[in-house]
Amino acid sequence: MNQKLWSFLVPVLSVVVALIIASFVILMIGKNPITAYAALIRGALGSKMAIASTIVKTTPLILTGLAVGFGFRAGLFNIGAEGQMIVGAMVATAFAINVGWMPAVLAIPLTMLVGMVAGAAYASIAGFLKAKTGAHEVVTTIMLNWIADYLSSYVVTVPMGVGFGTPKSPEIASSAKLPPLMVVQATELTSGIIVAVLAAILMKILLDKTSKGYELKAAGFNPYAAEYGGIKLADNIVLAMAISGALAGLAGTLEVMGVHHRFLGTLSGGKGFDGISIALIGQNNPIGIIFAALLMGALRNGSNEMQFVGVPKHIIMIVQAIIIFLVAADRIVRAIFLRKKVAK
Amino acid sequence: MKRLIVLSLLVALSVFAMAFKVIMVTDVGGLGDKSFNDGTWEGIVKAAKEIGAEYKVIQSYEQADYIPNLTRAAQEADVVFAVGFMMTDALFKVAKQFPNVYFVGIDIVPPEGTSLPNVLCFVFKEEHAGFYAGYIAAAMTSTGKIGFVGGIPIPPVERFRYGYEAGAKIYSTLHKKKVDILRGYTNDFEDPKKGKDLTMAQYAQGADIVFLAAGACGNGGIEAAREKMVALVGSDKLVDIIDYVTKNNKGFFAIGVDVDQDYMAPGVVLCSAMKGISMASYYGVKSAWEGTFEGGLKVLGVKESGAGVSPMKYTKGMIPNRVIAELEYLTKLIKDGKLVIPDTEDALKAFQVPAITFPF
Amino acid sequence: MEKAVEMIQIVKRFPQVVANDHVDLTVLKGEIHAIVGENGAGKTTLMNQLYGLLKPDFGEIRIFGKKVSFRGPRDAISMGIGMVHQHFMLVNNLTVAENVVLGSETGIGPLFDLKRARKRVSELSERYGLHVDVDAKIEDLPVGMQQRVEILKVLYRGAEILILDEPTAVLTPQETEELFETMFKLRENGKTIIFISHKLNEVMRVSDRITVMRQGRVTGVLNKDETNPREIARLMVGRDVVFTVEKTPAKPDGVVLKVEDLRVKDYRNLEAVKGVSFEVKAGEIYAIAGVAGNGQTELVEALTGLRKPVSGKVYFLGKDVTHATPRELREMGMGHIPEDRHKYGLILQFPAYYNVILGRHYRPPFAKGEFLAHDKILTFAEELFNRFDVRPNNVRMLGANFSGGNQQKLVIAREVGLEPKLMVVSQPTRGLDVGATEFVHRTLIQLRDSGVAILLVSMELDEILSLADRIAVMYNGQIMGEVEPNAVSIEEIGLMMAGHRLEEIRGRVA
Repeated sequence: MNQKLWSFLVPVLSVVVALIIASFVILMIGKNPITAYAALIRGALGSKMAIASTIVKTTPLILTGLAVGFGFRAGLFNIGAEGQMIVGAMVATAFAINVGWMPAVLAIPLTMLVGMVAGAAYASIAGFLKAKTGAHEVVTTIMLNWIADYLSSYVVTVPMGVGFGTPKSPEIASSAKLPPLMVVQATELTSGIIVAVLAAILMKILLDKTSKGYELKAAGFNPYAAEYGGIKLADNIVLAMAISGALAGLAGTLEVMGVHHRFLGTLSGGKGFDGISIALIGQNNPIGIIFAALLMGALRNGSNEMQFVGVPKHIIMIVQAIIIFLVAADRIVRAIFLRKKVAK
Repeated sequence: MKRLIVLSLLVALSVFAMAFKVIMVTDVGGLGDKSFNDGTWEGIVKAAKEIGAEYKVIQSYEQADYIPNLTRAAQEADVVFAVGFMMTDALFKVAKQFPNVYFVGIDIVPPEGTSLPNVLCFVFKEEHAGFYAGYIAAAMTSTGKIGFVGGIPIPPVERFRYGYEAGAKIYSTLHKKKVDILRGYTNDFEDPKKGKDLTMAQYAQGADIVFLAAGACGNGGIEAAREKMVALVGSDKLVDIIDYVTKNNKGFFAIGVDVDQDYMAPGVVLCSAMKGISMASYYGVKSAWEGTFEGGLKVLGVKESGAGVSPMKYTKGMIPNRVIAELEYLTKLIKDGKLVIPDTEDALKAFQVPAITFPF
Repeated sequence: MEKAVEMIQIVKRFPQVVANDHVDLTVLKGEIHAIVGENGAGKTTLMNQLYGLLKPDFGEIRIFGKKVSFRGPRDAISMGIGMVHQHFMLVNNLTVAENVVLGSETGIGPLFDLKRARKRVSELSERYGLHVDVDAKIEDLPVGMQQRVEILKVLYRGAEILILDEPTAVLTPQETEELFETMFKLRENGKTIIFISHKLNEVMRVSDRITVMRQGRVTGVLNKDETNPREIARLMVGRDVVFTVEKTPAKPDGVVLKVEDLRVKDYRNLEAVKGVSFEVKAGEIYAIAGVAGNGQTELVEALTGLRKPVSGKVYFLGKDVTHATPRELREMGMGHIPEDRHKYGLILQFPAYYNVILGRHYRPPFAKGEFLAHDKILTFAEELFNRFDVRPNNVRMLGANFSGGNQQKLVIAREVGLEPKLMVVSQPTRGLDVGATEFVHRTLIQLRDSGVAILLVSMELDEILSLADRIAVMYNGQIMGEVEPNAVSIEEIGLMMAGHRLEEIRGRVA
C-alpha cells in the first residue's frame, strides 16, 4: 500500500478501533457508549467554548510532541520534556513578572525567548552528558525531571511565592501576557496556538530543507554512517537536545503567558510525557504531530463533558493507551519488516 | 381524573426541571482520597439528600481544566464547589460570569481585593487539628521520635505541621519528655506509594508515630504503619494490637488527616486530625437552598467546629485517660483564646509554651 | 542409492518475495552435496526449512524416506540433522568438552556426568580425525579449531546429515584444506554433508553433486565430474561470466599514503594494530590480506579518521593526518568504501539521493548556505545512477530497498564521485554476487589506471591475487610480509595469514 496513505490511515484506524474497544468498557460500567461519545464530541467541538478549550489544551501538546519528535528524529529519546517544560515556564515567569515597563511587542517575544533558552539549557545538560560520557539520555532526562519537579516546587513556594505562601508565583506583567484570540466567558483562546503551529512549520523546514537537518536525521538513523560521513556526533547530540528542550520550554512558557498568567509549580498534568505519545502517533512528523496533539487535546477536553453524563474520564486514558498501542504495534511490525529486507 | 394525572405529571416534570443541583469540581486528585475531596463530598451528599437535590462530581485532569469544568458546572448547577487552593483564580474568573450561581470554595482564600457576593470561601485552622495530633503523638511515642509526612508544602499542609510541632512541644514542655520530629514531603497528593515509602523511611529513622498530611499519599502511610504493626504484633486483630501495645508500651502508628481515618486500620491509626470540611460543604449547600447564602471568607477553627480530633473509636483504650483529660482542658484554653496555636513558620519559631497548670 | 534428504516442490514466500519457488533437492546418503547460488538465491532459506527454523508454505520433506514436519530445530536434530552456522555459538571460557555437551547434558540436572561426556567427545574427535584437545578453552583456540568444535557438537547430538553454511568464509587456506579433509573423513564414515558455498573452486574440490540455485529456483543439478566452473557460474548468474580481471601492469607514481609504526586500540581497549608501516603510491592497488579480525578493521578506521590511533603517524599527500577528522580527510580527497555498507556505508532509511551526498551534504553544490539544494542533488544522483548503472533507476527509493549489489554500487558511486586521490577499500565484494563482484573489480582497476592510489583490504584471497599490485599480509595486528602477487605462492600467503613471517618462511625454504 501507498506509504503515505498508510501512515495517515494507521492513526485514524487506531482511533476508531480504540473508541470501539472503549465502548465495551463503557457498557461494562453500565453506561451508554453513544451518550458518552456524543458528550465527548460535544465537549470537544460542540460550542465556541468547547473549541476554544480544545485549542488551549492542544497548544502545549503540539510543542511537547514536537520536542519529543525532534529528539526521535535525531536518534535521541528525550523523556525530559516534562522537566524542560517546567524549567522553561519557571524561568520565563521570573522574567515576565518584571517586564511591566516593556511594551508588549518587546516583552512577548523576549519572554518566549527566555523560556526557550531555559528549556534548551536544561536539556543540554543531558546532551552534554551523553556527548562527553555516553550517559544515556533516557536516564539523565528522567533524573532531570525530578530535579525540575522539586526545584520548581521549592521556587514557587519560597522565593517566588505570593500571599499566604501559596505555591504560585505572582501574575506576570500584562505586557507579557499573550493577547487572546477569542474570549468566551471565562475561557480565553490563547494565541499561543499560532506560535505552536509556527514552531511545527519551522521544525519541518529545518529537518527537510537544511543541511543541519540532514545531519541530525543522519545521526538519528545511523550514527556510524553519520560519523563516517564527517558528521560530528557529539555536536549533533547537544544541538538536538537543545532544540528539543527549547520546544518543551516554549510549551511551558506559552502556558504561563497565555493560560495561567502565573507559574503554578509542578502540576502540569504530564504534558511532557504526553509528548511521547503524540510524537509516536504523529510519527515524528511536525505536521502529523499537530494533528496528533489536536486529537489528544480534543479527547482530553471532551472527556470532561463525559463526566457530566456520568462516564469517568479515565475512559479516555484507555482510549489513548489503545491508540498508542496500535500505532506502536504498526511501527514494530514495520521495523521488523524493514530489517528483514535489509538482512536480505 | 385525567386532569389530575396531567397536573401531577406537570408538577413532577417541573420539579424535575427545577431540581436543585450541586456540582463539585475537584482538583486533579478526585474522589477516593479518603480525605479532603471525600470529606467535601460527604457534606454535599448529606445536604443534597436532605433537600432532595441532585449532585455530581467532576474531576479535573490538569490546571487548564479548571475553567472549562467550572464553567460547564455553572451552566447546569445552582451551587458549584471548587475544591483546592489551586482553583482560586479559575473560581473567581468563572464566578464573575455567573452571578446567579452560588460558588463555594474549599481551602480557597479570595485574592486580595476580590469579593463576590456569590462566592463563599472556607479555610480551616489546620493548626488546631495538627495540635491534637502532635500532643497525642508526643504522649504516646516510646522512641522519643515522631514523624510528619506532608504532601506538597502548600499552606494547609504547613499549618497542619505548625500545629503538630506546637502540640508536641507543649506536651514535651509540660511533661519534660524529649520528643524529636522528623519531617518529609511526598510532593504529591495522589500516589499512595510515595506516602508509604516516606513513612517507612521515617520508621527506619526511629520514629514510631507518623502524621500523614498528604491526601491520598497518606493512605500508603497508613498501610506502612499497618504492615509494621502487624509484623510487630503478629496479628492485625484490634484486640491483639491493643493487648500488645498496652503490655509492651510500644507499637507503630499513623495519624490520619482531614476526615476520620481511624477505621482504615483500627488500632494502628492512633487518631485523625480532622477538618470540618464536610460541615463546611454541608453548610454551603444548605445556605444556598435556604437563601441565606452570603459571600465572603470563613475561617473555621476549634471554636467553630472546623478543626478537631477524631473520637479515637478504636484507640481510646490505649491512650491514658490523663492525656484525654489534658486535651479537653487545652481545647477549652484554645476556644477561650488563652492558648494560641501558631499558624505561620515565624509564629512557630517564636512559639513559647505558656505556663499551664492542669486543674487535676 | 539411499536418499538421505528429499525436499520436494518446496515453496516459501516472504512478503514481496518468493524465496523458494518449487524447489526440489535430493541428497544421497554418504555424499557431499553442494548447494551454490548467489546471495538471495534462497539457499539459506531452504536450509532453514530443513533444519526446522522455518516452515515451508508448500511441499514435502523426507528424511531417509520418512515424511517429516518439523516444529523446530529440536525435531530436526532428533531426526539426525545438524547444522554448523557461519557464526559460531560457543561459550568462550568453557572447555571444548563442556561446549560440546552444553545443551544436551546427560545425568541429573546440572550435575551432569562431565567425565563420561568428555570421554565420548574425545572418542568422536579421534574417530573423525578432528584432533581437538577436549580440555582446551574455546578462547585459546584458532578459528579453524573452533569450527571443528561446532562440528563435534553436531556429531555429539547424533547427526547423520550435516549442513555446513559457508564454512570456509572465516578460514585460512590451510584451515580450509583441513576442513575438507575432515569432510572427506566424515563421508568415509557414512555421514551425509550438505555444503553451502558460493566459491566455485571449493565446490569443485569437495562435492560429489551440486545443486545450483538462482532467484529461488533450482537451475541445475550437476555431477561434479561432468561439469566445470564456467557452467556452474552460468547457471548461477544466468549468463556467461568473465572470471579473470583484465589489467595492465601498474604504473605507480608518487607516494600518496604513508603509514609509520601505527598503533590502534579496538573497542575493548586492546591493541589491535601493533606497529604497522607501509606506503601506497598513486596508480597502484596495495592490498592487505589476512583472516578477519587481525586488526584490518581498526587499521582502516584509524586511517579514515573514525578511530584515534594510539601512536604512530599517517601522512596523506605529505601532510600529517594522524588525527584528522573524516570530514577533513574527505575534503583532502580520501574516499572510503567501508567494509560494512549497512553500518557505515549507507543510511538505509535515507533515499538514495540523500545517500550519494553523505559527506558532502554541507557544501556547494549540494548545499546553498544552510539549505540543501534539492534540485542539484537530484541531478547529481541521477547522473551517478546512470554512470554506475544502479538498479532500479529510482533515486528516491530508500537505501534499504536496494539489493546488496546495488547498495554497494551506491557507496562506490558516491566515493568515486568524490574524485578522490586515495581510495580506502574494505571488503568491497563481501556478500555480492558474481556479476556485482565483476563490476566492483572493474571499477577499482579503472580507478587505479586513472592514477588513484588504492588501499584494498580483503579477506578473499582470490580477490587480492587478481587485483593487487603489491600485497601485505596482516596477522595479529602486524604485517607479516609484503610481496608481489606474481612472486608468491598461495602456500606462502597462507602461512603468513597463519602468523609466520615472510623472512621466516623463505629462510626455511632456502
